[in-house]
Amino acid sequence: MASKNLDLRRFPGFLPLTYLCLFLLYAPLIVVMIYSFNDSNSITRWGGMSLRWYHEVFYGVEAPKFRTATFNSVTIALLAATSATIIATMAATAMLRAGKFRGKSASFALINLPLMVPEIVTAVATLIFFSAIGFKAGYLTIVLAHVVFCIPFAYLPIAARMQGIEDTFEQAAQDLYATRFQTFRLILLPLMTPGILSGFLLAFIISLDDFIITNFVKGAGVETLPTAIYGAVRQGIKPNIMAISTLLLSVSVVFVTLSYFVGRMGDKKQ
Amino acid sequence: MPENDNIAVDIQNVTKMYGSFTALKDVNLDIRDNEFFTLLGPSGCGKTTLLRSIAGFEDITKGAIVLYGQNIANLLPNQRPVNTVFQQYALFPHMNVTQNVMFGLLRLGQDKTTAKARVGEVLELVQLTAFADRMPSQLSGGQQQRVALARALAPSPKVLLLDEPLSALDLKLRQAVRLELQQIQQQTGITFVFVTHDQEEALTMSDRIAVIEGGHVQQVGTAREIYEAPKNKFVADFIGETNLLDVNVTDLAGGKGSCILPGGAQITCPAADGAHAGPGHLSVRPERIAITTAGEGLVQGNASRHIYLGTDVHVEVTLTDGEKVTVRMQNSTQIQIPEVGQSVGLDFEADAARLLVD
Repeated sequence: MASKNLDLRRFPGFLPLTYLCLFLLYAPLIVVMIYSFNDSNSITRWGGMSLRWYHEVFYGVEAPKFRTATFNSVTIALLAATSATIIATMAATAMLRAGKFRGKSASFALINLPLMVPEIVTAVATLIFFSAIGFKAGYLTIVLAHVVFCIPFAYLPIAARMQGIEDTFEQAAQDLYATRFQTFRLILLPLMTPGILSGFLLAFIISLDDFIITNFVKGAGVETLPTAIYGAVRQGIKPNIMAISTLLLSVSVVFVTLSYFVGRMGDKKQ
Repeated sequence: MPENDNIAVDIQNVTKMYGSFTALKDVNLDIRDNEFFTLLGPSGCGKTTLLRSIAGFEDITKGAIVLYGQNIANLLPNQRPVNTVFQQYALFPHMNVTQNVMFGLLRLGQDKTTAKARVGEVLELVQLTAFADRMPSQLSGGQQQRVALARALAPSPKVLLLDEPLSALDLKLRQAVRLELQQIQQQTGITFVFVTHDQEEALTMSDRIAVIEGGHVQQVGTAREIYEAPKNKFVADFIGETNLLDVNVTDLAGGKGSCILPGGAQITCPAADGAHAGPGHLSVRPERIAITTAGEGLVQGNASRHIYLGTDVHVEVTLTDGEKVTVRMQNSTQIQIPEVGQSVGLDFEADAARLLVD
């Protein structure tokens, strides 16, 4: 425990500073959420409570455009998160269960590097790479780009979980005549499931939310939800954008929360 | 003790290096069929490394491990017909008791019905039939320990390896489980190789004990042989308590040696193989020494301290040359315990003493 003298709450101005940070972080989000229920055509004047913009999102003139974009976003996120999770699970197994091998630290750095490279750099580099090898920009390029930047996000919870699993379970399995593959499938994989699910959910939401890289590699014609929103905003902010944003935010919050709790599942039991 | 000279595990010149550190150095051991064999030593002595080498979790650097005539040193753990009870049990947390015990049987290719019947048998053996559907997290430490035992026994291994399986249990439970383990070993007739640092555990349970220190086997023998005829200073000191007197050995012949005790008295007593003339050590157990009146007995000294142990009292006697000797006396009204400061003589039979190799 922190000693009394170092107790943060005793620092002068700590409380106002906290409120300022919280305000700057969340006030814009709260404004958007509240105004998504605004009955008025204006984005600044309050005209009473209504769900008309949500209706607009699902049934309005722009609805087909957003529906296609949402379908793209979700399918891309599913494909990218699934691939990234498989790759991350294999990477974690190699990093944590294969003993020492040459280039282990380098591999660790490479797996996590995408977290540190500025996204815009990755975006430009990916675009240049695809055009250099003559890959036509479109749905597939988005999926490939997403798989790559989702790997570290899937890797972190999976590796954290695996680190917490003692290797005596695997030794016990081998002692009881399980081959290495059986040991992986029957012991390691079930024990890692919460970490793998958590990694998948995190990767899914990261892919769903991504704008910068997607915008660079998507090519003409294919839109995901974030790029569709961006496109719509450029023609002027309408209240329906707030409704979509609020929906997207809710999905994100649900997934991140789910990822957190799933990741902790079964922790106490061990 | 089983009268059987078949060798279950023949450990031949086994050396294990970790980098430049030698964990096991040229270890040779014969573990007999159907025997309760204990590897005993302080932590870090190499006993667990040896056990894990038999199980296949450590690759030995040199030598051979021959199991009923087959060298298994190069086989994977899952190819060796031995099973292990792990120190922390390592029960699979996502499987219930039945699934845990059945795991090895299914991997060996048994069909579910046969395996189920066998699971029932071993659970009965460890008296856990009522807990077949529980998850490991719903069991007490003692019950988990039995499940671990049942799981390792289920595939009827040729040799069962036990890695300090009692160390996580509390004292009362440990004593009960000791007896049970011994009974199960006799019932099943499986060779047990048991690792422990607890000498009492080793003495009470084992048919034979190997005392290990610094990666070397110091002595192999029955509990009685090791306690009463220790080979060297380490074994005498590690197994039970002993007094080591500095003596001058004058004569050695036919397993006996003559030596001059501090104070000048001379005795002829059993000597360990390899004892040599000159300055040496004489081991006498505290319970084999009697206190007599000053001037009598073999050595003289002053009672310097009492250590109260309940049923016994240890009296520490400082000899005239400054050496300290512990005498174990029964705490009874019949026996007079000398006061601190009192001059006393110490006496013991020559056969109770033993000249050791340093």
